[in-house]
Amino acid sequence: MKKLTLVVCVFMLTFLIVNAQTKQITGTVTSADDGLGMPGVSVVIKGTTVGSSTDIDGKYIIEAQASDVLTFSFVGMVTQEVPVGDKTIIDVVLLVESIGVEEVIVTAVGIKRSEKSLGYSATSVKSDEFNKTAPSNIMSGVTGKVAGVQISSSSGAPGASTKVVLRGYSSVGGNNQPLYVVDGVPMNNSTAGTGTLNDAVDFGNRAGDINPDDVESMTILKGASATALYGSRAANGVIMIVTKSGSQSDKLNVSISSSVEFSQVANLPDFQNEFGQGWDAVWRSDENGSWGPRFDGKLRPWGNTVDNSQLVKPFVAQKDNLKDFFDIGKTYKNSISVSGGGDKTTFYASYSNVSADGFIPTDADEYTRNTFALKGTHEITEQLKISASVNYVVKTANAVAVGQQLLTGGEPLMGEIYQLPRDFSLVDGEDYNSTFYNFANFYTPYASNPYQSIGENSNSQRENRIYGNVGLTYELTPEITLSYKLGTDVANTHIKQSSNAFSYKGTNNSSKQDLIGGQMEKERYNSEVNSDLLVTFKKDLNEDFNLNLIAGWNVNQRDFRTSYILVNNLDIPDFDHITNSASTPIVEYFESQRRIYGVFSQADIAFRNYLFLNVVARNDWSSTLPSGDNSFFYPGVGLTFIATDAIPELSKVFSFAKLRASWGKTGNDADPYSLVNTLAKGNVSLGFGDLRFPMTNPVTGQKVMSWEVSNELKNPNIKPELTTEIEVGADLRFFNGRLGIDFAWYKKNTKDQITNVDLPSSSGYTSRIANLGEIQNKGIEAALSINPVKGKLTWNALITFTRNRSKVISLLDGITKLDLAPVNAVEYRAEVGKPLGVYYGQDFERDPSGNIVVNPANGMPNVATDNVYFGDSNYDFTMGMNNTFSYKGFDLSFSLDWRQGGLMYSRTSYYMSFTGNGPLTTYNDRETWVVPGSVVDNGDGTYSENTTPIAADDLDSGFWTLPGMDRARVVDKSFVKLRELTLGYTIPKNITSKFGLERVNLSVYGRNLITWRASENKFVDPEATTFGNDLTSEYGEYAGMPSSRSYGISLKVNF
Amino acid sequence: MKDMKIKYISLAVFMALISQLFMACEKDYLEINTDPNFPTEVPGYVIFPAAVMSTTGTLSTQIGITTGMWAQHYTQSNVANQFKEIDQFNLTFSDYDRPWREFYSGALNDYLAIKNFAEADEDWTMYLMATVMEAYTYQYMVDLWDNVPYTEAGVEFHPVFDKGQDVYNGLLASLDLALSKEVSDFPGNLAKYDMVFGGDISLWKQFANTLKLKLYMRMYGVNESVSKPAIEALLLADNLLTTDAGIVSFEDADNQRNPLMEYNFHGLNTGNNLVASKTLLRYLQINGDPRVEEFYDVNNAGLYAGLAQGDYTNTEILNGELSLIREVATKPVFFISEAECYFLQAEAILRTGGNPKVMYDLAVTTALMQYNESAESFLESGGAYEFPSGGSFDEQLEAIIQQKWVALFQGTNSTEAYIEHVRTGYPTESDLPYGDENGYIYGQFTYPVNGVSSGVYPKRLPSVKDENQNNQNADDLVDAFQPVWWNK
Repeated sequence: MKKLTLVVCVFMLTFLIVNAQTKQITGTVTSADDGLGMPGVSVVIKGTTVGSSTDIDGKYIIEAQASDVLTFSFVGMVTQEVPVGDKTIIDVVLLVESIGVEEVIVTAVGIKRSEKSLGYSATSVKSDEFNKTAPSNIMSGVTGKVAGVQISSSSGAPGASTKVVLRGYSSVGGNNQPLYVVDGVPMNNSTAGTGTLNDAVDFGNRAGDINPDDVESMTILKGASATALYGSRAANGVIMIVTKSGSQSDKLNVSISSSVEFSQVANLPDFQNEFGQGWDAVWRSDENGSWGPRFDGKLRPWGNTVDNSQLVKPFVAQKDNLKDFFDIGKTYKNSISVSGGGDKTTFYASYSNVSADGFIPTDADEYTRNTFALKGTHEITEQLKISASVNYVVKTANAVAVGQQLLTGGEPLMGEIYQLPRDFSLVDGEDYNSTFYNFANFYTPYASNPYQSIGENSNSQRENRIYGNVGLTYELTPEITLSYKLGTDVANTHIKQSSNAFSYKGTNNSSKQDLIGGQMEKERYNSEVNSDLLVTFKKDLNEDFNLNLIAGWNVNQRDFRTSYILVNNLDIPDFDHITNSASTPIVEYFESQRRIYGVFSQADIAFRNYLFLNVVARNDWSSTLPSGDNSFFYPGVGLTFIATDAIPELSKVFSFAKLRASWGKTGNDADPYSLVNTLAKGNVSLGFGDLRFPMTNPVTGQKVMSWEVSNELKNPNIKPELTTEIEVGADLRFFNGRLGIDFAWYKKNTKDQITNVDLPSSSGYTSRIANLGEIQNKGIEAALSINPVKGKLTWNALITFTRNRSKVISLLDGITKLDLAPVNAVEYRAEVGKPLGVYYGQDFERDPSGNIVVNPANGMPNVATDNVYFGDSNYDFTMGMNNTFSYKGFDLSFSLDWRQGGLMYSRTSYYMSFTGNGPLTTYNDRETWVVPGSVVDNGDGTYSENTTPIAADDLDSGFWTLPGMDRARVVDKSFVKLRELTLGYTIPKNITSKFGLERVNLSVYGRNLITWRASENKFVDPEATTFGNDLTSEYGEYAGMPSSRSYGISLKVNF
Repeated sequence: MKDMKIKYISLAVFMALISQLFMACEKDYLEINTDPNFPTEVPGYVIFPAAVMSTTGTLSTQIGITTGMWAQHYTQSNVANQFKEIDQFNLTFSDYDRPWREFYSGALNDYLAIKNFAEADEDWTMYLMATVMEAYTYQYMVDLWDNVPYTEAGVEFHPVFDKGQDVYNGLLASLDLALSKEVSDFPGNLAKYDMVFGGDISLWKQFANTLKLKLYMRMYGVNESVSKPAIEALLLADNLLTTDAGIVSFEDADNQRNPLMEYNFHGLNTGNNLVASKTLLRYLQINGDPRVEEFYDVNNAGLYAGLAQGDYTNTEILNGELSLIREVATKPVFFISEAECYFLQAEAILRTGGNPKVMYDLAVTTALMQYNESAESFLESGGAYEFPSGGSFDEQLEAIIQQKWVALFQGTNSTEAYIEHVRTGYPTESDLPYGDENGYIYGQFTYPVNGVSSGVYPKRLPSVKDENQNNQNADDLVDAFQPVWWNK
């Protein structure tokens, strides 16, 4: 045995010695581009520093051994390795490094086109990009990464809505959210919650149901010519989502991803910590505000006396009383997918689970989502393919209401919290049944224990949803393909709201109105069926011209049904059931159905692969428009010129240069039932409380139901809302693609807005549906991609810049403004000549020189008669900055989101003024003062200096919530956020492969770690909203939920 | 061969799909836009109850509270502050947006629709009912806001404002037209749609005549030559109300209660805003009037205690020491009560030269009978409310209006009490503070403690900003201190 070993060793050695002999190798390196010799190419023996480089003709000489491997490299070219072996002449052709222009993008109706040929801006984002911080919601991973796209979260609650606005708001009355299209089939993106002053509960939008791990890529189509094929639903852009599929190989791929995330409350208001409980500068232990004396640290008995005892607290600020109240939120996210296939078949199956408990104590804010996906394709013959995909989503959520009041009568959390004085320790009240913290003995009748607010009120949602499609593709001839896809999206939602009843009669808080309690049950059903038939014709006409024609036929039907029961005056305590009341419940039912069918066609003509003309056209017929006049036509045209292909000399400057221009139209039809007047249930709104039919006739004793003429006047002549958009752009890349600029300028005009226009009530109506005026959005989008360092260490940077300017060009004749405010606080309008969404509010009366005019009796400013202009809610510009550094297996990336300008209404600001909890209220140490520069009206057109200071008893909320203080409720919403910070490590393949693993990636990440707010915003997260996810959401927040920052760790394993 | 087969099958499938799709082209495929959720056409009588309740609810809540305070029936308590601006006479142009809106888009639009249906169907019974309610609603709008949209209201998007006087004339003409038509009782099965009289059309005629009388009385001061003969004719015809016109009771259930109760106790956070005003409370107490128990609740000590009008900043009186106004869920809302009709006739008789004593006594008796109390001791010789038969015209008028003021306590009726004060000057506005020693007489108005209008009382409601901003043809805004047309 030993002998044999020796023999082998000798043999091997001999072999090595023989091979170690060096020889001279020569050759020429040429470029694949032009076939010419390339000078300066480095030729190195792999693993050594021995090397040479090519001469002016691309020739080289090098000494090497047969066992060596030669490496040929040149900036911008693909590095090649060639084993020497027995060769002595090695010629090499170097290829230009791909710079991503040959990518294929899925465009409207699932049509694949080369990105290079597109005449409009289409940004594709890959799975790795939006899954960096393992977000539960697919869109939140794209924030700041695509120019022209504004993505915001309404709050930090788990499962909260994500709002996506492409190129500004263009519809005042309709929907401004983009159309989400999954694998070619439109999906429902409605919200089940409510964005209204009362009963404001956010259960998220349905695009949030998509499991981000299932998504291969997402393409954002912004312009009208890109989306014209979707016709009447794509006026706000389209988000095309392509899900993962298996591949036609026997290999089975399994991928697992898991993450754990912790979240913390962020962007709470700033507080003052100098003055404590009381009012009028006097300590009062039953007051809900901090208008009391300066903190002195002395022990004070406070609150109600119960059984002859009272609580005692040191009179000091509880600086972190809010932070302490909130918990650490936790999110667990797990998903597994299996994919593979055979000769003719592919499949993909996945399951994911998200379980989140937000930062509010208890399970009042929870979100659980389970998704199941199954997708497969099969080639029946070479010509005939079938595919199917089905997704099942089961979702439950608990959410804490914001805004003013719940339908069921309960008090939303944040409004209660902000009223507690600075020396109140929230956590002491955690046991809200304890003697001093229960509803009967809570120290104040003006606010309630926040733990009671979350413990005794609940909002929950359960949803089951199925969406998917089946498709057939048949290649009739090599030129002609027929394909058909039938998709559906069905969701069933149950929403429940409960508020327990409390009677304060006979308690220490008997001056407080009883909470009557209530129970609300709502069922919602949404379904959508979409059918697409496509005929594709593809032909190379001659050497120069290629033709690609598509014709299609689309039918779409959407159904909605909802029923609702509300009952107040709950009877048995803690029995949350709709039957638990002697009162007559309020019952509502609503259903709607709409249909559209359309024919569409697209022609692509390519000339020598550098000039592309794309013409699209679609005609829709909609059920929601007047029957004789329900057809509308959307054309679009795009022209693309690849300058670097057409004029090779340009390659000296540009590695790629493309110029594009496009023009297109899209539109919106009306909501169902907008044409014919109806009657409404008899209901008299008293201002506080209602009279509702059925009522009893007091003379005959019979119950009687009554209807009244609806206050909304319908319009039998409504026309579709049409958006026309023109776009020009350029995609320029330099230094072999290491620097790239993608630039677009667009102008988008939306005419004949379908909206409700206010009428004076003397007309008999309060509003009418009308086609109204025109809104313009124009702007620029730029994305700068830089790759400054390449090699072992790679640095990629992407900077996006967006500037959108909206303008209300016209409204109806004689109407110059339209009220958009969702609440009756500060005005929010569409006004001719101004950007869409401008704030007006009450100001102090001013003399002609602008000095504040005060009432000489008390030194308090008078309120001006006319409201004044404050500004608008639009950002001046937004920028995203994304950086990724890679070194070996490590990956460090961060992204910043900067949004500059714009105003928002903040109810939290009001609370901070009203309760004296805000830092502003310590102005002048709360000593009396004369309004600076104020004057008094002499009554004869002249004014003289005011010397009357504000009376001591007005120095509290009396002054700080004066009606003329509206401007203080509207704050600058500029911010910079550190959106994402990720450090990832991918274990080298040579290690993982030993364990049979393809890829193992471990990341730690943070999301929304830091927010820099504008200095006048001391109140809320500048993205916060209480009013849904459309235009009214821009209005601002009404004691909205704070946002969160989160930290997590994620593990992704493929094998 | 197999391939060919599949080819044909595939083609067939596609053709089938295509034909299926083109079926969608059928004409009625898109004809699904009829709203299944709401009726598009109903008979007028189905609309009538909701319209009547709009008039009822709107007059009884915000407007009722305003006028009730201005009539000094009650005042803002010092432990709450919801209505303090009303008591200060410190109103803004947007304060009455809601009632204005509810009048036009909750009541008047419906009366107009009912009249249009009724006219087309020649259903003059329904026509009369809607006309009376429409006129009643407009009458208060003119009395509160003077010029209001009338001829173009409910017809044009931006109706012009008609002069108060023209509206009055229009209302009288519309009542005359409706009364001139042939009417019959409501069919029994529809009686439930008449929330006021249960289908008794003869009572609607009386209501119409009484309303005419009220309109003529209102304009007497500026238009005596027209009003006087009309009043004489109405008295002569003697077809006026002898019963209460209104919603005679409510149900104690959510959204079914007396509107003031629903608003002030159930809708608002605190039910302790409205307390007895010393003006009326002391007047009742001094006269030993038993209605004090009907109007107010006792305080925590079991006594009746009022607050000086407008003294909501008082810090000496503690929570629970004042009498709240007595609100009852089932309490009626009268459009024109029987007593009011008699008071109106008493004044009419006085103005047309007759002796109003009998009618005055009947009015006071009826007013007390409303609460099952006897008026006998008050009316007898030397009684607190004895009619001053030997007194001057002014003394007699004051006696009538002073008693009318008491009778019209709370709800819709306080609006009438306030307007009658504006028209006649009774109860008298005193410059003196409460108290007997300085000559102040209880029952006279005192200027509210925190008033901001330098001693001037409001003569109407301020104009409505919401209407002003949305209506291109709106009149300029007018504050609460400008008189309405019949007060000039």
